[in-house]
Amino acid sequence: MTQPEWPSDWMRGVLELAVLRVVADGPSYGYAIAGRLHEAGLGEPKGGTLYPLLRRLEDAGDVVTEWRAGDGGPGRKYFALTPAGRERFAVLTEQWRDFVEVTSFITTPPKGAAS
Amino acid sequence: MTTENPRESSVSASADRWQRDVALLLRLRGVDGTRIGDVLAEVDAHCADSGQTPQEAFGDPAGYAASLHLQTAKPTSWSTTVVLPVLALVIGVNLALGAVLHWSAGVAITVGLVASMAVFIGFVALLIGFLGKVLTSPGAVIAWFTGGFALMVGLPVLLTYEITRVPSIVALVLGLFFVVLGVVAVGQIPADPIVDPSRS
Repeated sequence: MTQPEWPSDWMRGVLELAVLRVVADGPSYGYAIAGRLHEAGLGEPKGGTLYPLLRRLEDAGDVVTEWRAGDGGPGRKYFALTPAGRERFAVLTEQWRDFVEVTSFITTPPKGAAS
Repeated sequence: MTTENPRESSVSASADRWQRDVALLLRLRGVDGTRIGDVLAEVDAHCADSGQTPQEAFGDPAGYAASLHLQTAKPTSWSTTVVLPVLALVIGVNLALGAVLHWSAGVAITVGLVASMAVFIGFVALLIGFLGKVLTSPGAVIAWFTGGFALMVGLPVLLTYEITRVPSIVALVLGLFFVVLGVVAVGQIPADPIVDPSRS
């Protein structure tokens, strides 16, 4: 399935919320998080974008990490949401919905306006 | 005997170089070995899963190292932990050798010798400051080392004006003192190895 290519500025803005959303479902590792975002239609973020964001979330206390042994290959670093991260996810989700509502309103032509 | 695919081998060599550059750039930012090991293991794991090279997935080493914002509170510790001990060793060896080679005449402290030491300090300090920028160009690194070394050797040969002359026994004692100081100080440099958290 070909995916729409979203403007990179939008992706930068929404990536944190999208990553928090994936990790809210349970501990996951970088490549799997990228895959989930891809499946959801957001495109696959580059490692150079995703991992610095995950590190910022870790430094902020929104996620905790744990290395687990891999199957024959190198181990994987799992990211799990903390209570603070869950709270931040809830706040951002609420704000995002308001934002979508406002942008939908502002981009909808008034009724009767010539297109 | 295993037959190595030349393409795989060149991909693996370039991945190793990418990881080495990131490790060095993070070291220069004062990041400790444990955190560097964590960063490198993340890259390894992602590339093993995605089949991409580090360059494809993470971009160029300098950009990635900077994007992690792992700067520590004291990135200047390099100057005291590395440059000063090495400087003590260089001065010590110079003085002691000079004393032994010119025992009857004493050791001449020339303008060239002092200039050579100054060049050494400036050379190493600039190298630490700009290493991140010259990393991508091996030619620049070779030119840097050749130029610095030529200046350090050439200045004492060209600028022979004598500032003072130190008696050999004084130069020898001072030289040995600096050598011991340098060796002890080098021994104090913390090992701080890069640890791979995925295999511990």
